[in-house]
Amino acid sequence: MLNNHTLQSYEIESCIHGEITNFLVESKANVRSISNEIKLNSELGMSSLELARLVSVLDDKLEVDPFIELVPITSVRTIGDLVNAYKKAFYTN
Amino acid sequence: MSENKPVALISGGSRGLGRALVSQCLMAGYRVATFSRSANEYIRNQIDEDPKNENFYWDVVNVNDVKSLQSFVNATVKCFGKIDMLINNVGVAVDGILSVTSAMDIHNCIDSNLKGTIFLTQQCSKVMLKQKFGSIVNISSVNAIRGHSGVAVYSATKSAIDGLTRSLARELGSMNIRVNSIAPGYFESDMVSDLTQEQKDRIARRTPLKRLANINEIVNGIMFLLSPSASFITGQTLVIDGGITC
Repeated sequence: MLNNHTLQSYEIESCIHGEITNFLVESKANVRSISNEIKLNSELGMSSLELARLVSVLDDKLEVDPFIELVPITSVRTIGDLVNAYKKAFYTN
Repeated sequence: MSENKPVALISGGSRGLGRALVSQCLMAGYRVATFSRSANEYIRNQIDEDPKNENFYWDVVNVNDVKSLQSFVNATVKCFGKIDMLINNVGVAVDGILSVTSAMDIHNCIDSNLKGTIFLTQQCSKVMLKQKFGSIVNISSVNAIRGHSGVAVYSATKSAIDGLTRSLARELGSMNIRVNSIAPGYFESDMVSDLTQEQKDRIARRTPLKRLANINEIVNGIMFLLSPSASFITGQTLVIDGGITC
């Protein structure tokens, strides 16, 4: 778990990109580099359950849960959407 | 080596079936986290025997309070590092003809039996998803399978629990998380303590095995569903009722 009192915007993004990389390694997906425009489902092949698992991991690391009230999970289509959801939760708290 | 022991979270472990499950899981070498609305003598004895929470963790939790459920799950993970098994045991019985049942009793039954189960399962499933492992057993009832006068609201909550079981089994199966329910028939417990001997005798006469269950016969079924022996069983309701619904 990260110390979220000192997290900067780029650190949140970096943490999420890191976990996406872990997912790609586990799923053996053929993606060369990570950018916020990449679609989680159609480009990374991430299922809704795999996204739920990723969110559980990120909630632990970032100590916030954007999807309880702030952001509907159905609005998350890209890596950038995920990053923005956590930034919103982090800076709203 | 204690970190290798399976961890079971059991809701409502201070009495009745929950208490029997806590005892059986501890005897089987599991670490057990359980909660209830208050500590009774059984809970106080367990705490006295294990003051450092090496194998037993208990706290006061109101199953209708989502934040308190969330805190308990987080505390369990902090204490034991994981949650391998969840037994959704909390349940309240509401008896009476529906047309004269109070709104408060209806809300209480649905909140405790259904919403409490859903929210506790939601929190535990987050942990199990990270682990990519878990086994969930929901305590349903024969009232979910057969209609009985005077238990309409209770039956509705238990039928809903079986629906939750089947859908979650499909949802979580690919992450190696199994979800099953058991439907106990009548067994000797606080929940039948209000029945007269005549009523108990009538139930026994209608039961092919001609008796009420011993609580351990229910516990054994739950332990089986939790165990690796049931590793290919998910989305099922195991009826343990002496044949009364067959």
